[in-house]
Amino acid sequence: MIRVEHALRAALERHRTSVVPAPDRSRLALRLARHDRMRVARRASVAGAAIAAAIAVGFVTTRDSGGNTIDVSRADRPAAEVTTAPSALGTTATTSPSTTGTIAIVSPTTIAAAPPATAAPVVVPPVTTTPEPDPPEPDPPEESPPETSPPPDGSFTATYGSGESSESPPWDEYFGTAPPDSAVAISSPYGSGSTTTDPDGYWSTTVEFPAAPVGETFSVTLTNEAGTATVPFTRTA
Amino acid sequence: MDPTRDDRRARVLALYDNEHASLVRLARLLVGDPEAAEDLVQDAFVRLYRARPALREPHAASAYLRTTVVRRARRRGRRRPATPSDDRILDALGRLPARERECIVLRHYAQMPEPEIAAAVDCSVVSVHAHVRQGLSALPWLMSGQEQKAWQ
Repeated sequence: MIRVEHALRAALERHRTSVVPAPDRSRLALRLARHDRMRVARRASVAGAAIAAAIAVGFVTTRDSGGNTIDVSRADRPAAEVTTAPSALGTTATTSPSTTGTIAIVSPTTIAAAPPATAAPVVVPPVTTTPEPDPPEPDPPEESPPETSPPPDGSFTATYGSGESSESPPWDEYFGTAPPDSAVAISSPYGSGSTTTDPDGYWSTTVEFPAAPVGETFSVTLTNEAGTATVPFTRTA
Repeated sequence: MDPTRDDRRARVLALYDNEHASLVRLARLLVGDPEAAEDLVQDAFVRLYRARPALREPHAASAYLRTTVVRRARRRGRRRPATPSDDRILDALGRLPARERECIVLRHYAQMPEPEIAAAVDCSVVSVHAHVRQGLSALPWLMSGQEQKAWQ
């Protein structure tokens, strides 16, 4: 046993000195930038859904192109506060519950504040200039991709990333490139999803596989108009 | 307060400069394939970037990276078998069960104490000790008969 240990340690030391990996710093920088970009896009998507929901239930007042305010507020429910701000990729937004009954959309949308409680919808005459609050501090400028990593050429690429095969439910992250604004569908026997590439041609999404049996490797198919890719997934716990 | 995004990126990239080589070597012992090892390490740094608290302490960040590499190597190892090594004993190491391989690599290569290994591979300290002993016992049987005789 001792001789095995000595031989193993010698082999490991040879491995330590002989393996000289080449760092790919630019690839990591690109992945971090893409992570930030996707995070911003997800936040904007969530905020957009919140705004749409708020409008649908009548919590907000909207302003038409002529400057007339259309009040569709509901008096019997609390409202939410929504703020949006421009970012490098468009609009970012956050929402929070509020009992003040107001929704303030800063920029670039034209939805304005609603009074907290009115008995019935009221059409308000043309609004005088409403001072808008200072927009939140914009996100820092997006890091330019390194010169060694050219922008996507519109071809379809797909890979899997930092998911967890041992969580419940297990999930994986998929990302890659495809033609800008095109749809990417992810399908498998135990879970599916879809997403759309951003204007730069990057896409990313996560898919859960709640019904996947432990230990069975199955194929996850990623489909786009520019191609198809298949990657394996195995639930480990 | 969390560091700003640019600060976090700079910290992750600085950590990458310092830790990349050792982590890739560790990953290569676990998965064999050089490309898979590089992918594992890249994934670990992306996960570290997401895990803001782990970035605040350099020691915690290093431990987080090593644990992430080990856990993801186990998963990758099941998908892509390790490629044969030029070194017979390392080749045999690559054919050990994943848990035994991880414990031996972390003990004899990364020189981590057993409690840290237990946390990284998600088992008890007693199990770590047992995995190391079992793995070392199995190595001669996994090697060629000639080298096995040389040790006896």
